[in-house]
Amino acid sequence: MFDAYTSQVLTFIGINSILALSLYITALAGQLSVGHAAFMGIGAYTSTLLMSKLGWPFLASAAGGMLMGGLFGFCIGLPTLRLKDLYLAIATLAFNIIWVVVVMNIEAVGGALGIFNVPKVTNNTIVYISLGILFLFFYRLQDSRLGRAFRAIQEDEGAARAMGVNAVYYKVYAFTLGALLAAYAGALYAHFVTFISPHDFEVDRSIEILLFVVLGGSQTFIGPIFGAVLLTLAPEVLRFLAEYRLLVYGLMFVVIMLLRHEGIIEEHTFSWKRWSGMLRRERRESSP
Amino acid sequence: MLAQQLLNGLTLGSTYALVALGFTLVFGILGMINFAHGEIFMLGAYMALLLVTVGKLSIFWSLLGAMVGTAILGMIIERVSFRPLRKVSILAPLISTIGLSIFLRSLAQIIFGAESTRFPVGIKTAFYQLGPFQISLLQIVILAISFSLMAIFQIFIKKTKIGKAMRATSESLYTAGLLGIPVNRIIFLSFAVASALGGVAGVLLGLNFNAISPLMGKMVGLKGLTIIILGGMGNITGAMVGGLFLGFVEVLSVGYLTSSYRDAVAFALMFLVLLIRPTGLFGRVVR
Amino acid sequence: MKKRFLMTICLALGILLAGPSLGPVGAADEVLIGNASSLTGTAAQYGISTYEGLEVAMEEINAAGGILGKKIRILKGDDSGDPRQAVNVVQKFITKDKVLVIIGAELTGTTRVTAPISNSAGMVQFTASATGAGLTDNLPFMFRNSLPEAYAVPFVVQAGKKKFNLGSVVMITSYNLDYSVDLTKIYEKALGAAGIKIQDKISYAEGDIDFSAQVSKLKALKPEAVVMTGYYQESAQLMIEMRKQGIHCPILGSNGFNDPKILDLAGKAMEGSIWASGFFPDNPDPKVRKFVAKVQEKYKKKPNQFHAQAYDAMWIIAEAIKRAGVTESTAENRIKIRDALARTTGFVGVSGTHTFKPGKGDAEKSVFILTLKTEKYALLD
Repeated sequence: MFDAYTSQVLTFIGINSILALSLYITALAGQLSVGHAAFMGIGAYTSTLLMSKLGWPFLASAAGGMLMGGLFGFCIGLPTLRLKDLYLAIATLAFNIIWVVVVMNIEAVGGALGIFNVPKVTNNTIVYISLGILFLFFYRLQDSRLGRAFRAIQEDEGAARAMGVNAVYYKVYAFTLGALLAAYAGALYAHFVTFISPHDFEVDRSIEILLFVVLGGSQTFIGPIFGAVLLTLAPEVLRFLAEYRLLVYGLMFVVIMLLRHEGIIEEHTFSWKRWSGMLRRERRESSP
Repeated sequence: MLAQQLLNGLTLGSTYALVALGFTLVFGILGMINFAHGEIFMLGAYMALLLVTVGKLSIFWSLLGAMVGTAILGMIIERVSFRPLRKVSILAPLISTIGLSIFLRSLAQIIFGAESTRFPVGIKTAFYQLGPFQISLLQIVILAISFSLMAIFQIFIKKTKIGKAMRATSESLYTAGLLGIPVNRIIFLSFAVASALGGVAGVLLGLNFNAISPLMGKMVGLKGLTIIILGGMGNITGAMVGGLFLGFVEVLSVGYLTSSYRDAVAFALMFLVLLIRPTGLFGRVVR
Repeated sequence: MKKRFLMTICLALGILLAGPSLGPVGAADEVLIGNASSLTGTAAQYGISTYEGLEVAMEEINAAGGILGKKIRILKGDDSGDPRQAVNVVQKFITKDKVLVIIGAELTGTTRVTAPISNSAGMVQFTASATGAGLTDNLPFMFRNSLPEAYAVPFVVQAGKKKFNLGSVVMITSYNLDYSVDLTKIYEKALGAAGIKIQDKISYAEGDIDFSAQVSKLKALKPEAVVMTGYYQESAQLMIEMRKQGIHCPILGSNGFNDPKILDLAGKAMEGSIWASGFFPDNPDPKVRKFVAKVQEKYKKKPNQFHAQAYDAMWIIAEAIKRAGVTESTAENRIKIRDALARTTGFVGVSGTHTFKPGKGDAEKSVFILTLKTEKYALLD
């Protein structure tokens, strides 16, 4: 149906969308993480090792990767509960950097050389079915108890606690879930590109994931997906600019922040009411 | 070796301290991080390079020129990334400066070439032996410049009217406005000063190591961030002591432990401080 | 607010729709060569050098009438040294741009992930810069003319042992650079075979500017000689710092030393270094002289081995295409080109004489051992 190139780009879009959603879920509970690439890396390495060294099938390896990612997520999420906003962001950034340095030094997993000849398993079917499941999850999440608890914590943690919401439980839950998803995306990535090295999971990658969410819009789950699509296509589209590519790329963020800082997709972008002129002003005034 | 390593740490640390000061000044007032600060540091070095090679100025005048240049750059960044966005969200200026840092780095790569460039010294090579320390004239100059700048800055922030206005604004933007302080202008000036300090640090680093590259701002920028956490965000003494501390710790970890964990050390320290004492070792400026 | 929103949506949609269909399309009277390399990112200077080398060769060939009457056009494909982007670049070259041959990728990592892709598509991929081990093994469409470190290092070790009578060395590695880690292993093997001990190991990170701590540690070791395995920037910095702190022992280097920029940066500090190369810019051979002059005139800099290897690569490929007698990118034709390429014997280039043995994708080349004499590159005697 699609030629090899388009198919490949679509796979990356899918994987990046899952990454974007993994950050989104952590952000839903008011936690900003700039270290998700480390969880992605944990998933990638774990899955690769399970499949290559132990001969496990893909689903088991990916699941193993997810579990490992979730475990690390839990271990990082718990002690950092007290940290807010920028402090948490920086703590996760530090974790990312430390993780990369440590893996670089582990000869057993190749260190800076990385691991190549990772079995190629990922294809668009797996990626988009996974994405479909996530889509359903997030759609249902908005009005579920879990989703409302997350939102309450994001809006005002103190008030939420006062109302009896177990903030600790939900925050760690969101963080762990985010790490788990990022790890899964990492496994998908490893089994697609067939080569992984610690460089693939550096802070730059975490910032890129953050950009998916911030540029795309963090008010609904469509936003991060849109951001992922946009930013996956951008380097491809801008490639003809060769050396000037990064100039435009960097400038793009400055411009988009100036034009539309809340991200491109906002809460009511796809609501039909948004587009019917009469009710539009009322809607806008009533949104938070 | 210990004596030499301590000296290495002092020189490196004083550079870090200057960069951290720039970060902390902006954070103290706005509660935001200028992610492009590392690039300001890098561009300061390149400005000095141009002034020396093309402008044929002495190192001293090039340093001043770089300070002015980076101050202007800082003011532009304030106008583009902070003024329109700071009231609106915390993340937006951050993202904008991330974009700016990518832009500035690529711009430098295109203009100056992606490779390292030799940085002219302009100070004659001379070594002095002080007991167990072997110190070069260059190092003395660098240490002299950094410490005097830190001292001048302390005086500026504590004794001058503008300095006091900056401190008032960092205590509370709102109250400062009520008191009649021209908040926008103060913020503007703070960026200028912060960037000028960053620019000087860049030049000093170039002098110290004879080479600069467009990518040198990235890691230094991130380390500057860890320093202000260590020292307390918005805390000026903290930034200076933190910078020196990090310089020592890094150098000693290379000298006595494995050097391949050097970068991790800075961030591991920061992580620990965040967990144990999030307000930093010297306490955060109350916002 | 409404206007701004519409503007951003249009911008976003524009990008989405315009999408991957942007970019140059090949004309029928051209020979399209895709150059996958790192024009941005940390290895940018190597990628740019490679492209420049290709450009010089392309202009020469086109000026002489092109290949079988058709002019060569090189498509740039920047991957920033990132494997993720590299696979996209190569896939695009194959599927959308329908190039005839791919030259690239720049680095070992990016070449490793892309070679299987071009191989399954039956397209020749030729790297003029990647030096990792086994890059061409079991990949009939993968070729290279860059000097593999595994081949060159034993020569350096032997030369070092003879000249400096070495019993031990201190190894310096850039722990987060795959090239350096790989090279360290190769050196360890060669040193072991030559009976030279490794006194100690010191490491640094790519992008480090401060080496005072590492060098102070080195000084305390009182080394006989030092092995440097990184790219030229950090190597130059290390040299400067070493000489500054009073360490004057010999230095065994690598391919990274072949960029004359290292001389610009380190100057006299580089004296006492020896390394292997397939190319050195001060080679009195007239063909090399001409090449150096051309690069100097066009780009205002002295060529490094990336320029030289890329230049030779373009010429080797052009001759192969001529031998194959086809210029249209069809599966059949590409096999013809591959076979013609594999038959290259005794091609005399500026980076040495190239021959591809049957079944091997690595070109067999001559090795020079270089050192610094009166601030110029010279052969070690």
